[in-house]
Amino acid sequence: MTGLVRYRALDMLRRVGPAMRSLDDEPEAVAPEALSALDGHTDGRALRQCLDRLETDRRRLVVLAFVEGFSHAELASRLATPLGTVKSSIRRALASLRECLDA
Amino acid sequence: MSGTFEDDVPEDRAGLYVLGVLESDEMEAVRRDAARDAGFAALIAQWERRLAPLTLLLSLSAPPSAVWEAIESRIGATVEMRAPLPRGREAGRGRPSRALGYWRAAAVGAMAVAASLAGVLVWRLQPVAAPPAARLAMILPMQQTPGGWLVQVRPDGTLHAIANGNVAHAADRDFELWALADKATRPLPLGLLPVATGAADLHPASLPAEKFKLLVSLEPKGGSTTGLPTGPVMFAGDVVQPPS
Repeated sequence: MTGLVRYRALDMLRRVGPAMRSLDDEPEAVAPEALSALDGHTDGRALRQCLDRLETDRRRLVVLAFVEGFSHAELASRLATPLGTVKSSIRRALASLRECLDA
Repeated sequence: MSGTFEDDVPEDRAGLYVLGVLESDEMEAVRRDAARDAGFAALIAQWERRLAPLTLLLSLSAPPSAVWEAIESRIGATVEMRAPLPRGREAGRGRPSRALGYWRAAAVGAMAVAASLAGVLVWRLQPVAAPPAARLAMILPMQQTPGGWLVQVRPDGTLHAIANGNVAHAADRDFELWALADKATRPLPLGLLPVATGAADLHPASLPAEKFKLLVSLEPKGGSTTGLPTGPVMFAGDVVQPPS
């Protein structure tokens, strides 16, 4: 249910385009302590443990992407990191998460 | 955007889609492929399960007890409803029933999620050049029913509603959208909502001047004829003001 609404929201964000968006503030959800919100759930705890195993930069990319809806390109410009690096980092992060969560 | 995207392994594409980093054309391509390839759709479902706990980060500030305490203040002490035909001696106008209390309680849970999601959205939509900004509301189910809408409240008083694709409805019924101002008990009718994957512009006669929330009731085809909801309020969402 939340998922469907989220995809709609992502569609809308992409349609609006980066020019319309403010990129000033630091989202609080990427703060390490914010991840403690996951601890109340069994699945959340498992995911947090797997997130904790990621390199800091990769964990940050994953959380920023999911919570803020940033695209590859927006992450690259926001973090002043080459697009290719962002893409490969996210891909590696997802592969690590999958391996960790499915273990 | 991504030149090598078509060459990607399905597992990666599914994960990137659920994570939400793809561009519009890439998201469209993923949906097309998922529609005709059950195996690929299953990969997406797996990624949704893996990453689902991250939605907890979208609502950091809503402990369940606070949600319950917020019931009366968030949605008002009573929501006036009027059935087309009074059913019993107790069917006094505007009297909140136990059932209504239940709906109200359920609404707050849905709105807590909706408000936090919409809050994220509005933060992201904050215009750099500050033209008059539209307000947004995520309308979510109050029970475990599928469906919902994304509603944009435009500065000119019109609304744009997008159904999220899963709204279940009977052919002889319509979903009607209502605005309930803070502290008000009488919702204002705003119009009939689209279903399935439809989108519609609504042109209500008026909107509350003050802060309001949106409610969706199930009505006979064509909408309520009493000027107030006659069926159950099944969906609700907060309208979020963009930061000025």
